Amino acid sequence: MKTPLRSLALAVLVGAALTLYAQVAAAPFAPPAPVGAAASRYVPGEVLVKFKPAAGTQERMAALAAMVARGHTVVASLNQPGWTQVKVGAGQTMETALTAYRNDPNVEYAQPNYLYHATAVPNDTQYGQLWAFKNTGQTVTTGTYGSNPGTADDDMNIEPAWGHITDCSSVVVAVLDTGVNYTHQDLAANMWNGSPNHGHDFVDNDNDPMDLDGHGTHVAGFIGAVGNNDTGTTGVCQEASIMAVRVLDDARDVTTVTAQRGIRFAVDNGARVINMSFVGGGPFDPAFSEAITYAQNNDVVVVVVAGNALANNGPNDNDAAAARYPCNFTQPNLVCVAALDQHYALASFSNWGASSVDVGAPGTNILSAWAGAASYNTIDGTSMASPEVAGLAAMLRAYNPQYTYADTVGAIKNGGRSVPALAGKTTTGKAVDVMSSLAYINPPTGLAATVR
Amino acid sequence: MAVLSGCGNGDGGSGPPPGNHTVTLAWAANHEKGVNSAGGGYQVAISGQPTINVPFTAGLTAPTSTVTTLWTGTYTVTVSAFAALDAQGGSSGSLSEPSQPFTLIVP
Repeated sequence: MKTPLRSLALAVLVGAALTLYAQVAAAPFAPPAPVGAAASRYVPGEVLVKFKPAAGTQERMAALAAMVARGHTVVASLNQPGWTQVKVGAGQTMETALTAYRNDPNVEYAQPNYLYHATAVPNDTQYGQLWAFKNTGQTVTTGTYGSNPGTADDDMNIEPAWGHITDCSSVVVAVLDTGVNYTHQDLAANMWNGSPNHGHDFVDNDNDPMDLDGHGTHVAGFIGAVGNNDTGTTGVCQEASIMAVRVLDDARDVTTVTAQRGIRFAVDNGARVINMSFVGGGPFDPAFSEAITYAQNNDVVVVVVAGNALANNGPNDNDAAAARYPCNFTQPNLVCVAALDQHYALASFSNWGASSVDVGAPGTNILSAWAGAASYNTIDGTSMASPEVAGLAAMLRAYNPQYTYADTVGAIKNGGRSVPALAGKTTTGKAVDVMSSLAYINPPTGLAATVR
Repeated sequence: MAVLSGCGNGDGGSGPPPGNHTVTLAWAANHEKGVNSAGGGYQVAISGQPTINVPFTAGLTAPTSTVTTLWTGTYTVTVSAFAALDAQGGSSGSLSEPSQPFTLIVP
C-alpha cells in the first residue's frame, strides 16, 4: 500500500512528465539568464533542492505541494538522500525560484543544475608553447617577436571545440606552398593518400612535393599536425588529411600559371579547403581570379593571407594602397586573414583592409613543424595566421558534413570574437573563435508561404 | 523582403472571403548538424502571433515547414534555427539570427 507521500510524489512525477512534454513541444527557445557567478552555466529552468534531514513526511509533503502550487514539476529524485530535481514553472525566473526554495525552512540547499563539459587538452610535448590554442600568458621560449609573453585568454578558444571534434580527416585540405615534409613525425600520419607522395610538385613538375624549405611544413603543421601523440605540436585538426601541393619555388615565388595549376589540382582531387600563404601586389590578375572562381564553383573554401608589407617597408593597408592578391579578390569562398600578436594587437607587420581582409588570427611566435624529420621552428607572419583559419574551415566542414563553402565562411566570419585592434581594419572586426564558430548557426533562407 | 499575397485556391477569382486561412510556411533546411539532431530545430515568428516551435524529431533533417491558421491581415514572418550546442562548448543552446523578414498578406 502506498503512503500518502509516495502517492503525491507519483502524481507529481506523472504530471511532471506531461508538463515537460508540453513545454518541450510548445515553449519558445530562450537562452538561460545568468544565475550567481557570471561564468556558471546550467540547465535552463531546472533547480536541485535538498530537504533538511530533519524535515518529516508532513513537511516534505507541504513543500512538494508548494512546488506544484508555484507551477513547478518534479523531474526526478536523485540517488542522494533528500535531493529532488525540479522544473521551474513557465514564466518564472531561476532567481525567483531559487530564492523561494532557499527561504523554505525545510530546504537545506537549492541550486541550479550546473553544466560541465569535457575538454580535450592534447598531450603533445610542445603544447604549452602553442599560445594560439591556449594563451595562459606563457612565454614562448623560442619566440623572437616582442609581445612575448602575452595576455591570458587571447587565443582561438579551441579547447572546448576539441571536446566535440578533433578528427577532420573527412575533409581534404590542400596546402599550396613550398611543399610539405610528408615524412615529418607530426605529419606523416595525417597526409592525404590520394596520389604518390601525398600531392604534386608544380615547380619541378613531378609527384614529389617534399618541402626542403620549411614554410609549407610549418603551415601544414598548424592545420593538421597529429595531436595527442605525445610528440611535438598539434594542429587545429588533430587528425587531418593534408594534400601537399608545391607551387612556391626555392625563392618562395609563385607564378600565375603555377598557382592556377595548383588550385585546379587541389579542386580536381577532392580538396574542400585550400590554404595559400602567399601574396603579391596588383594589378588584378584575371587568370588567378578565374582559378578562385573554379574553386568556388566546386564548393571549395580558399583561405589566404593579408600580407606582411610593413616588414618589407611597404604600405600595409590593402584598401588604400595597391591591392594585394589573392587577398583582394572578391569571391565569396575566399577568406583573407591578418595576424595578431600575443596581446591580440594587430601584428606590427600585418596588412589590413577594411573591405578586403576578413578576420584576424594568431601570427607571431608560432611554433610548428619544419623541414627535417623531427624539426620545429618558431616564426611570424600572416602565413602562420592563415592556416589556423584553414584548419577551422576543415573542422567546420568535418563537423557539419552538409556545409557548403557559404555556410563555412559564414560561420568563420560571424562566429568570431570582436577585437578592438581589428575594428575598421577588417570586414568583420573579429578574430577567429573556434568554439563560437562551431556553435554558430547560419540564418535560415528560402522562406515561402502558401495561403489557402 | 519578399511579399506574398492571395490565396492558393487556383480559381483565378477573388478568392475566399476574409477570415481564417490555412497558411503553410516552408524554408530551406539548414546544414548545421546541431539543427538537424536532438535539441535542434526552428522557431517561426509571425508578428502578433505566438512563436511556433518546429523541433527536430527524427530522420536526417528537422522539419522545414509548418502549418498555421491566420486571420485576414498583413504579417511579418521570420524563421530562426536553434541547436543544443552553445558557444562555450556546453549544451545550453544557440539560436541563429532570424531569416530575412517576409511580408505575408492574407486576403
